[in-house]
Amino acid sequence: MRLTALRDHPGMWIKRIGMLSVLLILCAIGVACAGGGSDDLARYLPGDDAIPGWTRQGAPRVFARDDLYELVDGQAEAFFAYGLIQAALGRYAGPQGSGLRIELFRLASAADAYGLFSTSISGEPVALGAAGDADPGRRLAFWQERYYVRIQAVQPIADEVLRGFGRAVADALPAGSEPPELVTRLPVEGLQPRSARFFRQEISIQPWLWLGGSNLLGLSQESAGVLADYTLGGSPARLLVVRYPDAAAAAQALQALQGSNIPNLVTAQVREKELAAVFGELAFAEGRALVERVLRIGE
Amino acid sequence: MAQNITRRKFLGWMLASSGLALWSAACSGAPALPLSATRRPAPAPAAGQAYLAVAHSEDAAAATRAAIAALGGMERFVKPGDDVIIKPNICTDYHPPEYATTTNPFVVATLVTTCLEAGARRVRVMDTPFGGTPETAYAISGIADATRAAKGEMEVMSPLKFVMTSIPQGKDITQWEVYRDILEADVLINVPIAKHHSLARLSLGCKNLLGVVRQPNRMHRNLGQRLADLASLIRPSLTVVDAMRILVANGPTGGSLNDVRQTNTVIASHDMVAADAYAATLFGLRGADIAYVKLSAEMGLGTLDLDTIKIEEIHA
Repeated sequence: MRLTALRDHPGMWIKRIGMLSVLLILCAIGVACAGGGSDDLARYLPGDDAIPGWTRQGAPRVFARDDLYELVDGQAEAFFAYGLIQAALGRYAGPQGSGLRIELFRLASAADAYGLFSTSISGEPVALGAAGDADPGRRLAFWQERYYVRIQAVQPIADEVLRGFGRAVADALPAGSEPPELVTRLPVEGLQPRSARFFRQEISIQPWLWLGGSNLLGLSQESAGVLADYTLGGSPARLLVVRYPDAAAAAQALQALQGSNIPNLVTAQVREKELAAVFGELAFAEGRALVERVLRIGE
Repeated sequence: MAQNITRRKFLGWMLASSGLALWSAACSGAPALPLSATRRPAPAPAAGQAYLAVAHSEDAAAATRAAIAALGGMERFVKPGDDVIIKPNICTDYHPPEYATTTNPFVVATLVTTCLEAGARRVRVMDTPFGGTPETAYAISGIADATRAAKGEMEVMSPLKFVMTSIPQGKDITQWEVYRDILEADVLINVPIAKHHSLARLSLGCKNLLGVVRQPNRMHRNLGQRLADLASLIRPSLTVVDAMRILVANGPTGGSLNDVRQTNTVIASHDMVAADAYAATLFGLRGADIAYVKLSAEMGLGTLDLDTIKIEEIHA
């Protein structure tokens, strides 16, 4: 019966075999991507021979998004806000019982990697990757392309070792790192160095600007914002700029902000898809001038 | 006067206890345990005792002793023969104490000592680190050595001891898997370190309770209410907030000493909500700014109003 069908309808069978082949190829590609993705991220971690006297402790561990809590606990939400895709952990043992760990995070984009880095800065600047931050001998972090890297010594070690590991990871990662366009547009006068924090969600800027915790500004993964510190006329201020997917969302956010009781709001304004606001102790005229400069009002 | 327990009485209690457990399980639709029958309620302060004690000292042990003394001494909480569990925050296995991600080991050790001095039969210290092994985390935090030196026991929490437990007052969660010994201990002392937390804003006493449940990650959805629900079940006898060093950014895991502030403070109270509310002020916040503290207060688990309670501040 089947042979008869094959003889009588060869086209139908060729079509079925073709569809089956496509399905099998798609499955194979899916499996390869999933496995390859994991291997891909872990392979950026240095091996045994990267730094003399240091060996890797076991195979690196790769974390999918859903497993991130096992790596960073409650800090996971801060990574999700930048579209975390995957993370990897390598542990290393050095001389005299010293140890360090390297955590590597792949984010949704280079802007997100910049964002995560910019909201984690707490030490000294270091020339590594696109930009780095360090507590010498203890901790080193940097971003490059869409990757964020942090290296932590368990006990203080020679800073050269930390930097050596940092360079090894940076050399292995894809090159190319441009800060987000919104950041490059910030007015330079009065801008505090290393204070431009790129974000997409409220959680990323909560330590510097508390907006109530209920998404007052209607932020989402489709929005992009920057919060930067200024000193103008001797007074400290924070400039917030958010670009929304459309002008209506920006207008709605302005209305919500002006109707809120967020303290120290000096002024806020919208131009097309962008909202800008200044918080702090600035005179209104200075705040307004800063907002107009960043929104390019009058240009 | 010693009580005489007859075989008839004993059998009666056993039957009553079994009936209560079965009834609870039937109500929840799952094999959930009832609330601990052995834990004494946290004792309210007697006349002259502080409702909340705040001790300042560069010496963590001195600050801890002073705070407990202001509450009336450990004897107020621990009775001779008690089984005591101390629950610090030992979340990571790679940061020594100076990073302010784990509880100060000298605060923990001093609590072990004072519990034993009060006559505790046994004092165990435990937590569930999120990564690495408990043994490594216990060692790197400094808590293992300090506890053993104080004659306490470090316990690695066994996966077999988590039991599905009813949360009768729960608004979002009505049952969860909780470490059985935590529920059954005579006294539970909750010893968080005060630190920044990306999602919760601050990790304090109530947040520290996540270390005694299974699948804590699932708590992160509607975190504020779920923590308050959990607090309604766990009810520590005493909360001692370690604020010797506090982590002010990049928490809860931190990693930079630049994010650490030396505040040399220990806060203690039988009221976890009040202790958390006071600890929030060290970060320039109020208890009401932290969702789980506010919601715990709304559930009647403690007070946010620091103006209406007796706070004793000591410079030890």
